[in-house]
Amino acid sequence: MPPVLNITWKELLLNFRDRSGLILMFIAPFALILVIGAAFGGFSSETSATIGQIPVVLVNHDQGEFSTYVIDAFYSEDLSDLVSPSLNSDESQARLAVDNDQAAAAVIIPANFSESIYPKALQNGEFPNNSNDNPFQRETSTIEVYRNPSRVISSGIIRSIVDTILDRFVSGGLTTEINILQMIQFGLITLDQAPEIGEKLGREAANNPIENDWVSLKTENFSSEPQQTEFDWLTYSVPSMAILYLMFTINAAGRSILTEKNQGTLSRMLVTPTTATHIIGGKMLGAILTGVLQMTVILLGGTLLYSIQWGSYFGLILLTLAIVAAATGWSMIIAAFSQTPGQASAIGTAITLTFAAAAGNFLPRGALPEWLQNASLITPNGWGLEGYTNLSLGNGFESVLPAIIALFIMALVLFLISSLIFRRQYQ
Amino acid sequence: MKQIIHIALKDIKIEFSEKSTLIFFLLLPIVFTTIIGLGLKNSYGNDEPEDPRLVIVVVNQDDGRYGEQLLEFMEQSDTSRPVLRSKDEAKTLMQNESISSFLEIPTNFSQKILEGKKVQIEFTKYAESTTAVGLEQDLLSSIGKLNTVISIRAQGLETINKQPDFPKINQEGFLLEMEKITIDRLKNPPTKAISTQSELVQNQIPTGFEQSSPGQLVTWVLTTLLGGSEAFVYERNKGTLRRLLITPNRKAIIFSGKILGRLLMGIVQMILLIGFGAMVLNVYWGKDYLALAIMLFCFGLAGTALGIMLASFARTVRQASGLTILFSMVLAALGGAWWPLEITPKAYQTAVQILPSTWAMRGFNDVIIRGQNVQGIILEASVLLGFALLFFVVGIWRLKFE
Repeated sequence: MPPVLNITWKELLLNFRDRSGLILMFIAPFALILVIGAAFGGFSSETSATIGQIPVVLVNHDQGEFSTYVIDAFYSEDLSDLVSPSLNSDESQARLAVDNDQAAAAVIIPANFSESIYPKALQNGEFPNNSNDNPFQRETSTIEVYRNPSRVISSGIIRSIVDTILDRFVSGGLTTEINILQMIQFGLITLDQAPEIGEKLGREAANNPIENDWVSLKTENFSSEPQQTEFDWLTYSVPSMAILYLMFTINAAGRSILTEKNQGTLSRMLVTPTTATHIIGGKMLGAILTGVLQMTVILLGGTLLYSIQWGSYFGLILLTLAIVAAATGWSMIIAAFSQTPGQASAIGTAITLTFAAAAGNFLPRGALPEWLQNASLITPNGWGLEGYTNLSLGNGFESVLPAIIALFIMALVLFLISSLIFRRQYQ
Repeated sequence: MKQIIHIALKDIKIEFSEKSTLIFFLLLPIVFTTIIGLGLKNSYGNDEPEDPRLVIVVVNQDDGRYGEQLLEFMEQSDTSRPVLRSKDEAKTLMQNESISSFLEIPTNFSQKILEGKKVQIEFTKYAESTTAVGLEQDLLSSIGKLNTVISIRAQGLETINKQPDFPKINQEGFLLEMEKITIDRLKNPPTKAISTQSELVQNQIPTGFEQSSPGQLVTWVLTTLLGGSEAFVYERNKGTLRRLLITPNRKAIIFSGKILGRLLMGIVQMILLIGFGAMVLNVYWGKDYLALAIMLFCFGLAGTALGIMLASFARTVRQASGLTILFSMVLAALGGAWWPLEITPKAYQTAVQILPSTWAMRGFNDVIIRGQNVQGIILEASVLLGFALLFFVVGIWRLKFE
């Protein structure tokens, strides 16, 4: 066997016999992929769950009929997936549940709620305030939504639900009220006629409820033209964690040159007919094969777990080879500039984690500021994430070609620089 | 006690003898806190102190009054605020995943309403986005208000039609006046909702940095504290622990010194990261410093104890190092240090209650976001002490000095 392949084989054996190395290579990335899967609600990209079952405590101080509509709305079938309501007659306990983070919000209905919506006097055809400005003037009531500040989105949803329910009450009440007011204002009726007409209009409104759906909301899921599927955080987590832990693995390979140098095995190897080029070449090939195997296992596992449909399998293979080559280039350059294995380990881990944070391995890349997205294109992570995201969105080979070219160029430049430094060090 | 302090200081000295320690101790946590805080601002808050509401991008293609009126109702929300963009800009923002959704008001929206036609407005969102669900609900409330205005106008038109004597010239004035009164009354309706929060709360909506600062503190301090396992295994394998045992010091003193050293490192790191958060990123770290100090101590102790327990399972330094990275990352991610737990399924939220990182994040959120005092964090602090006790018992039971 040629010396390069001998060294490569030895590197592979060392890598795959090391239990702690295997933890970092396979168990850690899969553990995080599973955590993200559990956190975001499913193990198939078709069933990603969003927010739901928001705990809300309802406190009803009102004895009238209208507050029961509010309570019933929270218990309705329409909201059964979104909220998880519970009734509590003790307001302080409800507030305590929010303070203790057991509920996203407490909805507190005041005692005069029903009276403010439809005063008893008005039901009897009497205007409580006989003023020309507004004969409908009556007491006001306020539903309090006591929000949990650490559940911004959930408590915001509860507030919006309360607003939507109240709008229906307000809409019904205002219709009759404003009609009468305007008729008085425009001289169509006198103030004396208002109770009689008001009662008539109110009855008509009750029997023939006016349409309140002039404007409706049509919800569409986002999909830009060339893409067949939408961005999915679960799918994204697979290449994201694979790239992160690939960098850890490959760094260890670069570090092994320094370990051999420190332990004296490198100088022993150099007195044999094996040249420095053979040694470094063999180690690099070992690192590349280890990386390819690691990426293949993680990507394959993730694909099966989340049913990911890649746009081009040829693109996927080339992109994986390119990213492993670029990661190996970085590992070699770190080893070339380090004096000891400890130094290489520290610098390698720091660079790996900084690259990961800057490129978007810990949160969707698109959430990062644009300048950071551009700056992170000096990392294999940045190009890799762009490429894998494109493929997972159903785009073809041409969509990942720029990433593949950029990663191979990156690898070539880093290999050239590191081999120049190594040549100077070992010859 | 003197020996314990000596051992603790010696351990700290050894740890910082390598300059690279500072990279993990300070540099990387600062980089992560800043970058993740910047990333979270789009989905969590928008970090604009003057208006911290969530942003909803609106493409308004209408040139009439109802499109404007809808925007005015949306502006009145205390959860979100509209920001106008062109359709191309909105699509680009969506493609870059910079926003979770956008609203499109179609052309001739107002005209169609005036003609008595029903109109749809389109809300485009990422199906899995939690923020989009919140914005959609908020939007429905504003649409409800607009529908009230339009319904009352329709009712008014019906009233006019029943009055044959009503002069034609006054019709539009009558209807416009009705709309005006309706809009006015909707601003201050007889029945309304208000949002309140505990008096202890400082900010209405926490900023991205207020999520990333405690989150990254938990992640990186866990790395430091669990790193104790690496140091312990290194000393055991190199034989320095055995050498310490032949000195007049008892096992308990050596052990306590090592725990104290690691705990002090964790606490100093936490103080530095809190200082960075407070002074550079304007993170509000609560008003009760005693509550914060109790949380820091209890979290530090639980993390140190977990490090001891891991040391009892690892045979080599590489194993300990692998376990440290694995546990610190997974525990932090699971416990809500990387994303708010409110966006995760209920079963997940229940399951992660068995982790110390969840209780640490709960306690820090109590202090920072909910503005709680000592009484408010007693439960979290007690649970963390319970974890510390459990990990110490298992660790001491299994740990071998030789």
